[in-house]
Amino acid sequence: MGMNQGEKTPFLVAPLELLINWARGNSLWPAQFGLACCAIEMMSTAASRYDMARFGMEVFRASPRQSDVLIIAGRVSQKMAPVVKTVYDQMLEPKWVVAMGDCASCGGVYNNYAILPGVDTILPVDVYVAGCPPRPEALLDGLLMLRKKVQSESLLNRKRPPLRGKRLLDENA
Amino acid sequence: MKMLNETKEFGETTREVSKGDLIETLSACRREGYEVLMDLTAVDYLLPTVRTKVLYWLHNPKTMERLRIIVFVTREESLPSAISIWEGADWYEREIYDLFGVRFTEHPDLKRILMPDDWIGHPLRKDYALGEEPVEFKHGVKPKVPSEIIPFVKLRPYGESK
Amino acid sequence: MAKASNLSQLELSEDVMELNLGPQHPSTHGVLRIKLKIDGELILHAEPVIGYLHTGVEKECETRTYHQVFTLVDRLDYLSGPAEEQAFAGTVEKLMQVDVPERAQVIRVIILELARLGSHLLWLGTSAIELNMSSVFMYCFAEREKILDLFEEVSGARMFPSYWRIGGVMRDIPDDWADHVKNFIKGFPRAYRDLDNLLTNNYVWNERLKDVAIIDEATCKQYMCTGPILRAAGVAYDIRKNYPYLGYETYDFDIPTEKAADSYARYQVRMAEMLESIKILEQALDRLKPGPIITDNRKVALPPREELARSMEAVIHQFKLVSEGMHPPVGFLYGAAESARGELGYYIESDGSNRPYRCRVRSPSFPAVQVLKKVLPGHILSDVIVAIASVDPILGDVDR
Repeated sequence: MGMNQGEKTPFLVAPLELLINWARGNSLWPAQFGLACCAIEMMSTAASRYDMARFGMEVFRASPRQSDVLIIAGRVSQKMAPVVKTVYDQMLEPKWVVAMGDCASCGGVYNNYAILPGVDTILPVDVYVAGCPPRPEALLDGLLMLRKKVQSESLLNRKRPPLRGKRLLDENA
Repeated sequence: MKMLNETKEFGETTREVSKGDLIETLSACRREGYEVLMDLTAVDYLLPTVRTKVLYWLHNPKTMERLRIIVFVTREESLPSAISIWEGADWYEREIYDLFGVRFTEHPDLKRILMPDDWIGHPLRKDYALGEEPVEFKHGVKPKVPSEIIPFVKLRPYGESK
Repeated sequence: MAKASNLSQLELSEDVMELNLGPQHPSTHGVLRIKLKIDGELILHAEPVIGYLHTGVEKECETRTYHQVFTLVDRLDYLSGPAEEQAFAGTVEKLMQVDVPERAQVIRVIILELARLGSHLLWLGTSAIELNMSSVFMYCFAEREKILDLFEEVSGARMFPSYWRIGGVMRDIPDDWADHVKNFIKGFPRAYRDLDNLLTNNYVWNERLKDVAIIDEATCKQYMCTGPILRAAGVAYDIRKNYPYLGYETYDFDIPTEKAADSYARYQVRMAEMLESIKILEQALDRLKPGPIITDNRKVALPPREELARSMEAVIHQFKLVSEGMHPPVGFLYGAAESARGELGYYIESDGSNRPYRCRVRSPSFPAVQVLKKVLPGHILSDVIVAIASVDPILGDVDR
């Protein structure tokens, strides 16, 4: 059940991998990282109409050490970027990142000196959710996509997605 | 109250004062009844000379009248701080220092407030570039900067009377 | 309150702990950082640090046409986006001396009051969940979803309708929208009664909120606070009454004030404002009459599509407006609107070109965060969260 055909999981590990991935996917605990307007839609997703608790994700942990998913909801400014990186580094493996909204994915409406062009310049992002702000259903769709990804990961060779926005870290790209 | 000139436009009164008379004028306005400083901001100009205009927007809570006091400074000059009159001018002056580079003497703690502490440059000055990145709007077409999609069109030179 | 000499003595004796209430913290009022110096639980010195959401909107507005600025600007105060749009549009309309037709004014008033209701409901929900009352959060968000449904019917977007245009609104309301608003108004008093029963005489709510963060009238004048903070200190100042716009002088509503100026008074003022908004909504719905929804001035508003087929001038106006934008006269102006947080003002300076020369946002939350520096020392640590929640800052507006 690994990611490619070339890396077949050893026979004895396969049922264990199924069990662990099922458990991980059904109880992803988000770290609260609401920055701007997308945070309001994230709160709406956790509220009663579009319930996130039915997928096991309503427990927003305040501390990054106790959470699995970092949902970057909102625009990341120059002053906030080191804080995001510190919070991401404090999370324990395995961890995933969801870039919610246009500003976290690509800079959004803004194109100026103060906003990072997407949070994938500093963090490896697993799922991008588009919208300004994305509807709660769109965020749920993104989280379900993340759950499918988590449940199909290999236990022994877990690969992190690359840093796609290489502008800030690699000048030659 | 010594002022250099006074204009009335769109129902608002604007008085220009010189730098030396600023604190005196503001204290006099406060005694007259303009007890609240609603806004303190600045505008940067490059033509005809390089200067910055600092605006004080005063409000009279009893008669609901408003008055604007403006003062022009060049890039090297600094202004006296209005903290002695209104404590709340603290952060507004720090913001003007951060974004425009205008220094305020007698300010207890003049440091950057909106940009990171080690930022170089003052963003809202007119000679500071916006920092836009070109975006490829359509495949195969040269990437464009968003502010050039609808280019700048001037109708009349600034400063010309209507 | 500890004096400066006490503070330095305590610091020398190493009894003072520096605590950082960091930019990422669970009370969801945005990315606000407060550097606290505490002795045990008593706060000796508090310094709020902002700038973590600085978006550079004011500079970006200088590179966009007046029409394009609407999308940038309504994401500043992200809880009441319509109020930002109204403040900007109102100032530009005053600058260009453009009149808004009657029907557009009434539609704008309805959307503004709905946005105010939504903002206060969200404030109540998040403040209560910070004090660990999560059922209030669910009730408030359930009501707010109905308001967002109404916005979606009118313009297609839940939070940022982008519905305003200079001189009117984007398009006419659907036929049954007024009935949906009436149904919402009929159902709101029950929700209000639920929240009232849960909170107003609640022992825990009273104990946590009374006598916390007293911002009296003199402090408000020094720190230029407006909105519910000023009204809880006893001053009946509201832009809708003092500098009326959109025909607010013809509506019949009161301005609730309280005397105590603490967090509980601010809570009472906001609850009373919700009822006043319902009153205004009922009156506005009665005034909806058929008519144009945007001004006739072709130098400002796009011509209707049917006219483009008949008239060459309309085609030229459309071309000029879309490819160039509108040109206001040379001058500068300040215009304000009452958002849910206080006086939201725009200072717009125009140099006759198609872009604003300077677009300054006077946000109501900036002084509200600054006043915490003065008001927090002397309280205990658990009052900090209550104080921040009660002044209702929106960091998008503070940092711009």
